[in-house]
Amino acid sequence: MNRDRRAFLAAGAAVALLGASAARADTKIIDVVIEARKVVGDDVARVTQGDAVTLRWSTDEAVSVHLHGYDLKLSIAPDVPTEMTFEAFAAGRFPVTSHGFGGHDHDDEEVVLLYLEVHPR
Amino acid sequence: MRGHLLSGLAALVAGIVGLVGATPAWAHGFGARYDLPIPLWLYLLGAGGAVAVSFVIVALMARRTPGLHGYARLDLRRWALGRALTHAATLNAVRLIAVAVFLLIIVAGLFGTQSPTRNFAPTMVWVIWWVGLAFVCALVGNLWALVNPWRILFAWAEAGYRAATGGHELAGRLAYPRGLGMVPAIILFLVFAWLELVWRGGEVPRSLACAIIAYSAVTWAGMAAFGREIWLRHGEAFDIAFGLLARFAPTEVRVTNTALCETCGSGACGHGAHGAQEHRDCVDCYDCASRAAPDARQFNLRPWTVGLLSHAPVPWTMLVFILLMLATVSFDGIKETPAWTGLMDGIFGTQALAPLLFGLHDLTGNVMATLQTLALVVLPTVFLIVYMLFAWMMAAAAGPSDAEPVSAGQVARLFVLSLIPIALAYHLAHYISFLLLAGQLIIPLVSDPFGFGWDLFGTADYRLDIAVVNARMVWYTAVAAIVVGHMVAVYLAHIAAMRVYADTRRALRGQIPVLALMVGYTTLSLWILSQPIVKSSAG
Repeated sequence: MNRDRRAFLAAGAAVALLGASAARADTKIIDVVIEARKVVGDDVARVTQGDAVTLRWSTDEAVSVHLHGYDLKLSIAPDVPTEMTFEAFAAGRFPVTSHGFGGHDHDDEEVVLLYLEVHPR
Repeated sequence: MRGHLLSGLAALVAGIVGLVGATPAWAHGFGARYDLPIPLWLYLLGAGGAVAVSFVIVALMARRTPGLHGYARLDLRRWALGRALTHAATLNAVRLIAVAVFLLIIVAGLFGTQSPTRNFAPTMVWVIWWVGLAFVCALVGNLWALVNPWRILFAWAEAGYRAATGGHELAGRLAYPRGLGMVPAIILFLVFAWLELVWRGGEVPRSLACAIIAYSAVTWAGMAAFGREIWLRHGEAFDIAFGLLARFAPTEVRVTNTALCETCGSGACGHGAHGAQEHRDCVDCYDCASRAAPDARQFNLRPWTVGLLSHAPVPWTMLVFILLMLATVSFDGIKETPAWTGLMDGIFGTQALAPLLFGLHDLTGNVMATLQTLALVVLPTVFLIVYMLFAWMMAAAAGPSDAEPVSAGQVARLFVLSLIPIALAYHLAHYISFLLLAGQLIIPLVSDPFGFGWDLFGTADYRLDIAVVNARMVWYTAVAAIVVGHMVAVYLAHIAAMRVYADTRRALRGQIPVLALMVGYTTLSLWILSQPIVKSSAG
């Protein structure tokens, strides 16, 4: 009986914890628009650690983007919105750089398009 | 004798300039940092804490002068572990490893793959050695004095030469010009700071290896001309830099047989070498320590920071070297702030400056690098001017006294060591997350140092864990380190003041400017930490 009660309490606590952490993790969808090789508007995207993040990219020129740290890469074609989805498990300030605008693969110059700030809880 | 030095330096500069032109731009920048700026409330809390702490310390200790008459020490050689650690066999094994790593850096740099993150050299040099070893030296003890490959290899060469020629000395035929002081080290450190902060070749393995070879040539030429220990104390920038940081450390090497100092190769030990004045023992002179009999040698645990207590004014050239170190550490942070990039964008966007910038471009090929080089010279000069101004104010605030005239110059040379804890704390705060993140690169690199696809230890596939640092912990650690560093600096300055001025009231008055200077310097450090790191768009 005693053992059952303890198991019950433990299970309850686990459910509560899971529920709490699930409730705290938000889903963040952020639209990022590239025009004339620059991001329109604020060049910092802010999310909270643990969030499920979707960066929805659209561009007026073919480009590859690279989210450093998380090391995610994505090729975007003009006028085809493309999504980059990940869980923001690590806090920090991560640059997103562009590579090869207009389909030039040998474009070495690394330009920061956007900073992703993942703030700690 | 100056000819040797100058030709060596000229060769170094020529070598570096030759390399710059051939430096490709890498798509994936080496040494990326992902730290979040500290939030405003924490920045204000830290700055306020620094101010409060300053006054509390001075008020509490107004009439006390701890640390003036020696300090508690514990000889670690008392225990078997301490003796084993300082045993000649252990030390030689460590030296052997150090030389092997040194050679691996050069060979990997020259012949390995040229990707900065897949070659052993850049990570080992910039992250593990420059950042990591600085932490070890300051927090544990002067490991560099033991593992300095230039010292080790030259000592081996000397021993070999002596054996081959029946006792003839390899080095030190020329008398080092006393008036020169640490000028060679200042020049070399400035060149190094430029390589670290401005030069993009620093992350290119081959260029880095070439720079190391050039520095080795200069160092060994200096050692051969003037003697190994003389050059280490006046021209080997890193021996001096790590040595200064290690004064903070809780360990020391002490030789109780001061007769040895008469024949010390450095020529400087026992006469103004730090700590040596107290009991006339020889402290942290590695030349004497290596020659001393085992029973005259101690490896002591000591209170933190006592190595920074200044007993006599430091030489002028050391003052300049210290301020140069402080300024370059700050510049590393400043050049990544939005304010700096804003300034650069402003300069580039100003029509009136356009002809000048085009002229610079034609002259140097890279305007951004030219401006940063300029800043690297201007900022230490500004630090020096501001510091001298405050030294003058201190001397003026303390007031004149017939019994003990203390000039602004003497004040400057007495108090400069007390600034080191602030620089150290900033260094720790600025680099802790970088060391934990970028330092992980060394894990795959030890298995595949050349980037040839080897897997010697089964760690080649290790991927960076970007979640290893807790952002909140890093913030608190950084601000706590800065406030504690500031506290220590104020404490050291207080003791220095009590030493200089016999009259307590004059000592307290004299401290007001130094407190203001320290609060300003600490606030600058905190401000840099509160700024988001940005990459220069014009780079």
